Amino acid sequence: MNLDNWQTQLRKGLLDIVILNLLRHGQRHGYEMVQILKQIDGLKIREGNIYPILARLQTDGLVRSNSESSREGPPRKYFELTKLGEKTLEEMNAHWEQIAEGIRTVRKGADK
Amino acid sequence: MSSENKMWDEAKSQYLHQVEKALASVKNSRKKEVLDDVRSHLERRFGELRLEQQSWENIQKIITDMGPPTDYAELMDTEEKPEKEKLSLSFVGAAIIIFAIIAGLMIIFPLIYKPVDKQEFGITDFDAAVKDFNIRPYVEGGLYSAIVTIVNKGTKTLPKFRLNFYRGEPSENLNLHGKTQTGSHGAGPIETDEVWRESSSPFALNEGLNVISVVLDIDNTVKEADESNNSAELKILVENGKVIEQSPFHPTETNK
Repeated sequence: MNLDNWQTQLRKGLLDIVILNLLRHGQRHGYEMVQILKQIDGLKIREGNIYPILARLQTDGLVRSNSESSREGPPRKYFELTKLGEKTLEEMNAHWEQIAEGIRTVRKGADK
Repeated sequence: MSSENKMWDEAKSQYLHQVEKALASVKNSRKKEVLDDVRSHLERRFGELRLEQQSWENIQKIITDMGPPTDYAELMDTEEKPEKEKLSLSFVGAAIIIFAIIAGLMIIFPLIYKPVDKQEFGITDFDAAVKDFNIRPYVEGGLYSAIVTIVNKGTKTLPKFRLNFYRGEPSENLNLHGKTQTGSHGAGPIETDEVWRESSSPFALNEGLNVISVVLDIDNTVKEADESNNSAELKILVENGKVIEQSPFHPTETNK
């Protein structure tokens, strides 16, 4: 088994829930989200990856964006969760907890 | 313009061009937005470099940190990716496979061919697709109706078929009232490019997130050119009895 490949696939699969959780406590711009993820081991992403995901989440109605002018350069685009996004995230987080708990259970069993 | 700035402009343009190419076949209207966002991101990264740091190595690092342009298509429209991967087969490999299939068909076809009725002949001429899937308030009682608009994208008249509305995933087989599905709706025939609208019986939305779906041709009796556009899903958020938000309908691939 190629461990690197597995880790990459796992990380890609989790990007939606990670990004939605980053927006859970308020609006952020893409660059800021990349900087936060860079600091978290295991969640480091390729910087460009965040934009197609945000676009898809917008198309799905889970995230919306608005532009605000910035002193440091061109207007910044801020992303935030929609009500539908908040509710979907709640369910995703609950599902994630289920998976994590399931793995813990399997591991405990396997350790016996 | 300094030589570093020229290098940067060139590297940036090349990267953006590759991203644009990678996104060409993705079905998402936000492609231009993504390109603009990536351009802004690149500008910010370069803008953070002090003058003495604006070297070819650092320019390359910025581009590398962005990730391969091919990632964009996969992340923006995951359903598109496998098809593109298939296309990346070498020309020679693809030619060998096509030749083998044609040769195989030439051998097998005379053995299995038997005359069929007109409806079965030319199966790829049929294509029922979900054009729209929505809900609207029913006349009274705070109830709603789900309405699916079906279009015949094929070149022949679509024969009659059955469809169903579901609460949640179709695999759970629950009707819009949350009970085990027992009936179904009939649709068709539908002429080429014509639409057929079918409404569900009135149902109540629950508080919180509601997921409803529709599947066309539940028995898979019509062999179609494209079987991937026969179902769709809709998410509706209800708070205090009111629809707060509703996602655009989302095609799914349930009826395979």
